[in-house]
Amino acid sequence: MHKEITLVVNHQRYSLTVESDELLIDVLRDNLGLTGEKKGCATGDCGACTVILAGRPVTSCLVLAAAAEGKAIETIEGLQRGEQLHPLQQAFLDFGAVQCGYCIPGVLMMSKAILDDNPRPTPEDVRAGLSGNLCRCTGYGQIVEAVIAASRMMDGVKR
Amino acid sequence: MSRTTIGPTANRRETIPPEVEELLRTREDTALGKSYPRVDGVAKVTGKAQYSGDFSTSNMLYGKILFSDRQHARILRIDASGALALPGVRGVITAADAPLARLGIYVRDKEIFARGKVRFFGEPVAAVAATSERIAAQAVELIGVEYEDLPVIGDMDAAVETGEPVVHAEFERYSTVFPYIRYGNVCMDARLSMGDVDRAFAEADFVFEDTFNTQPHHQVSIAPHACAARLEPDGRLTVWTSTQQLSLCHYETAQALAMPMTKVRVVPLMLGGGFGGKVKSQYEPICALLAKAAGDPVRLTLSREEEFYATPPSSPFRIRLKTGVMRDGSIAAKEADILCDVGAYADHALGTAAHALASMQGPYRIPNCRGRARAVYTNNINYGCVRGYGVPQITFATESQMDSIAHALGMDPADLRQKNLCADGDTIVTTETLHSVHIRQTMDMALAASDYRAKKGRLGPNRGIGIANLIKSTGFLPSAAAVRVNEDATVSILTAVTDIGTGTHTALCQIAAEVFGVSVERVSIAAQDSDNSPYDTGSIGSRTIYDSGNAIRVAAEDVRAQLIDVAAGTWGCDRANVVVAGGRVYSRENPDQGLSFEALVGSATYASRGPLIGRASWLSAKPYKEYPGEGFGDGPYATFGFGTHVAEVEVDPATGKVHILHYTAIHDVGRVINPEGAQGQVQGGVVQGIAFGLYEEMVLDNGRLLNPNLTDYRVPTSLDAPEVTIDFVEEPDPTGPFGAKGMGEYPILAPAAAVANAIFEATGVRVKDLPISPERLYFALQSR
Amino acid sequence: MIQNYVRAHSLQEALSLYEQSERPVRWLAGGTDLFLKLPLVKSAPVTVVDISDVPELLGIEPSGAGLRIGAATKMADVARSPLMTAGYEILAQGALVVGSPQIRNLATLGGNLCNASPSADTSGPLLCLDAEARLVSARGERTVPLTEFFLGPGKTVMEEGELMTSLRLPAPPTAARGCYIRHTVRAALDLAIVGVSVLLARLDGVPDTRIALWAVAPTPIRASEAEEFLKQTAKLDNATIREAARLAQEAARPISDIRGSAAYRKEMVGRLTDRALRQASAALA
Repeated sequence: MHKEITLVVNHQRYSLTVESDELLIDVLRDNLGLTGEKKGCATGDCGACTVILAGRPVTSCLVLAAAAEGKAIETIEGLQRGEQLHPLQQAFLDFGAVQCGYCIPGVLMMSKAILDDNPRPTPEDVRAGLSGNLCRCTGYGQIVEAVIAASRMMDGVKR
Repeated sequence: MSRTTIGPTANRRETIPPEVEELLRTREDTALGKSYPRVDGVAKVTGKAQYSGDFSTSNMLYGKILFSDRQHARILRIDASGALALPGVRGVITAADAPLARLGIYVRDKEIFARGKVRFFGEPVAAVAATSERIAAQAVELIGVEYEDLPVIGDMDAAVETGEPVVHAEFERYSTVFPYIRYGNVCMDARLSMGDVDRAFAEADFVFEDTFNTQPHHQVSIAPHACAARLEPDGRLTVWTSTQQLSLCHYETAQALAMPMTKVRVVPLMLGGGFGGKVKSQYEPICALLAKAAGDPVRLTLSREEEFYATPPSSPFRIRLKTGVMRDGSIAAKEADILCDVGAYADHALGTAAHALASMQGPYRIPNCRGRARAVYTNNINYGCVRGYGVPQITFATESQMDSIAHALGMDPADLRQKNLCADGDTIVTTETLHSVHIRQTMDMALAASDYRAKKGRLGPNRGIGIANLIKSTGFLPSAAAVRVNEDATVSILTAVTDIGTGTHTALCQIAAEVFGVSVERVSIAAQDSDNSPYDTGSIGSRTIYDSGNAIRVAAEDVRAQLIDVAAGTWGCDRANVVVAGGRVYSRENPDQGLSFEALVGSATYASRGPLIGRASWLSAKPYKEYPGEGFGDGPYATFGFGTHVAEVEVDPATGKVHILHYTAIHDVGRVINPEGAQGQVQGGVVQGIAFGLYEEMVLDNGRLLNPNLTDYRVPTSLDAPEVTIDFVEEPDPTGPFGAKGMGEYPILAPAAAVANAIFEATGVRVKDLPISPERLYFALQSR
Repeated sequence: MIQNYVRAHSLQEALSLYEQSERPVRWLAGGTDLFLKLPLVKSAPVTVVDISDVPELLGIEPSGAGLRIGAATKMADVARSPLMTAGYEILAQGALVVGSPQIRNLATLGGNLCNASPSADTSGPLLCLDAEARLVSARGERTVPLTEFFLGPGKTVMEEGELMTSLRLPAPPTAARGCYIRHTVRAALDLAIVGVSVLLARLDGVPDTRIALWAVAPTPIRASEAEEFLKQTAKLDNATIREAARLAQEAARPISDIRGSAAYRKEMVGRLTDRALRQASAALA
């Protein structure tokens, strides 16, 4: 069944028509052209589709687009401010935390959620926080370093 | 990048001695050994990088494949009428629509669709193009396929012994790359031999025999396979895909469609994980054929479940080793018998069996060696290759057995290894001769970094420390490159080698920058496609830095030589005295009167020589004049890399669960081009190798996969991955670009053995089957 | 496939939406299990009523001497609730291992139970805590002890149109100590091979022990015989713990599947019950 919905993505409002069973990740990618978030499994296991929904990181492959109506959605496309990279993005570059990069948008959004919740996490906190984001390339070491470095760069300032 | 700070002052007019110049290059001007951020990094952290699954174009249709749900069956009838009647369906294709073309890397035994018979659960039977993913998915459900089931061979022993049923009845008519010995379901029976093995066994003080089993192991790239294709108005086809082998994907796609390569253009997009899963062509030919049939562009994306059963993982291996040892620990003789289930098609799996055989010695001097590798067809999955190409499997076996032997002789496993290490000039069982062997250094560094000697035997109950060495060949198959120096003195590299995430494009830019003595920022990999990018075998087998890197180095040197000619002509000096470094070109005799690189390029381009372009065709290892052994078809290789891993584990005796406490990985990769990138390769590879040792297994029941999902196929999470102490022996290999070897596969080779050996020290139990799951280890502990 | 999606804003609305909608109707709370069961194409069309925002179904608050937890409370909120003390810790621990951080922001406590997987991560702690489920439908409401709630894999006592609104947890015994052990291969994103939780207290010197097991029988269970045995034993020494673990092992009726053989699971029930009892009794001492 068609549904007229309004999605608020990165502070921008989009009115669109979706099917009742369309998943948020598919609507973001196919209807809104926001292909930064990736689909790696569609079962909530890989975390590549992680977005922040109403302040909480979720796998957008397990959320109906219709159920996200009216809630604030943050995706990788909204992480940087204009041309200015978010400290997390910069740290990921500086610490070699990116390889193939496919998991990275999801990892970055989860990392942002980790720092939103706890501006000074320990490496163990970061590992626990990222335990729902599979990365096959990096073995996670440089990712954890980068998140810790970003938290220091931000020095507790919420971005 | 200015050389004024420590270079010769303007007052000193003497020539610069070559050794000082060398020093200046390494300390100040060099682009090497520095962690330049990856060239595709910003696109990747902003979500703007375009992977093939992100591709879209106007009027795009969605493809979906109907995969066989039978392991072995005759196809009696395919009825697509139901699917075609569904509104939104724009085309259904089957083998009847595909030209008769068999593809295969070693044996041409596979068509893009099953024709007449399916040989595994997951073989493409038909494909649909529709106006939405949903309709495409509904449509494949509406295709009626009438099968007549055939007896299924799920067991490789049965496949070898009885030869019935025959998986490939037309076997004898398939063309092969090498003259394999073939019979029944055995598609390769290869043998290698060196020395007098029988006599050495007879004279050995002890003989050890062990059998090891390894499991099917999947790449699990986080990006599923995806590609898109469009028929252009002029009848040409454009294909967008994420591939490790652009040139081969181009060739195979054209072959499958019976089109000339000039009519097919393949454009590589960003690749979300390769690990051997995106080699050659995968689903590009089907997508292209769909686009041709439908008339509009088609994008095809595999689901995670399809990834598991319809893309080629590594084979299960059974490896029998027999090793003869003298009382003092020196190894006199070794025999290996390798059985590899290639599944329904030979694919790369056959090659992994041969490559495992070639690597049977490990990094040891063993004067008498003999080995046999058999690759056998079954109705299991279409196996292929995963990072390491058979070497993780043989390394697990050989390095586990080294430990057992040390234990039996009452020697420390490190001492036994050190006693038998190979060295420069050694000839191995493949008749290749080793050079740039630095295994002794990797062992010394690993033992020191892990504190092995102090910890050994002193870690307390249920804890243990284990060591494993590795050797990996690389340097093989061709690469070409062109290097353009543009009018603004920037440098464009033309190559078909794709960066599969390993950071090779960045490192290749560093290599070119080094040739010209310019900053890395000036260098860029030109946009790639199969029309314009010179042939490259691709990002496989740890070869990119070595082979593509050498091609790019030579092409850049070609341009540099042209620039030197121009400078020498301008100054009337000898070519040998022209130096290109630090963004400048100057005469050794008169270093103050140099030209900036930009000025020289401008002058050469417009005033003396014309546009600057260099080319190279590179083939680092020519085929053997006479292949060693019988029925063998692997190698030769130009060089070998080495490494030593040390794992420290704790075993929970109540559950059999293994916890990695520390991990050390030291590699000889020649010269390190980009330290941050190299570190990432090791960290990621070690975690993937540990998972091969402890977690991951594709479980098949007579050809049916029981765990095609990420819940029960257990890729390690951030909480499972240990931190790894990483270092490199930085001894340059004179044959590599600026001394570099390869490295991509090295770190995955040793972890399973290092962990198994640490478990042995912790518990006294030797597990010879992978993965060492809690259940497997628990019951092994119970039968202690 | 999901034919229609409707969102309820109150319990009353949820119940009437259910009644009004074209059958079959499914409640949608977190969706983390539901969506895996409703593939795009292959299942019959259903209507889903989204109850994730229904205020009556949310929140954790003291209720009498115990707690009331809304059935649609997210696992993440259960895991970090300041009320998860004094015996309730095992529930927080169970909630904290569900799936992944992202899953825990979607998955709900009630959903974990209604899905009736034999390996539900919070089932054991809730059984140990003597939880009762409040079930409401347009026809009325009832309270079911969790011990009577599960009927088999994917099966519960819930009837057509019934909705689990909350769980009531009586106060745990004074100074109770618990232990939660979920045995998996990976540290996250995994499902239990075997789960054991215990809650231990001492009433007038006599141990009051509750042992729950999951992933080892068609439903999560209490190991009653082991509990009885310990009640009749004055002290928790090595021998009694071993015997209790053996009795727990006897209560288990595991199957062999991709995550473990029946034989291994049986072994693990004994080993891990033993371990859980030791850890809890050490904490109690």
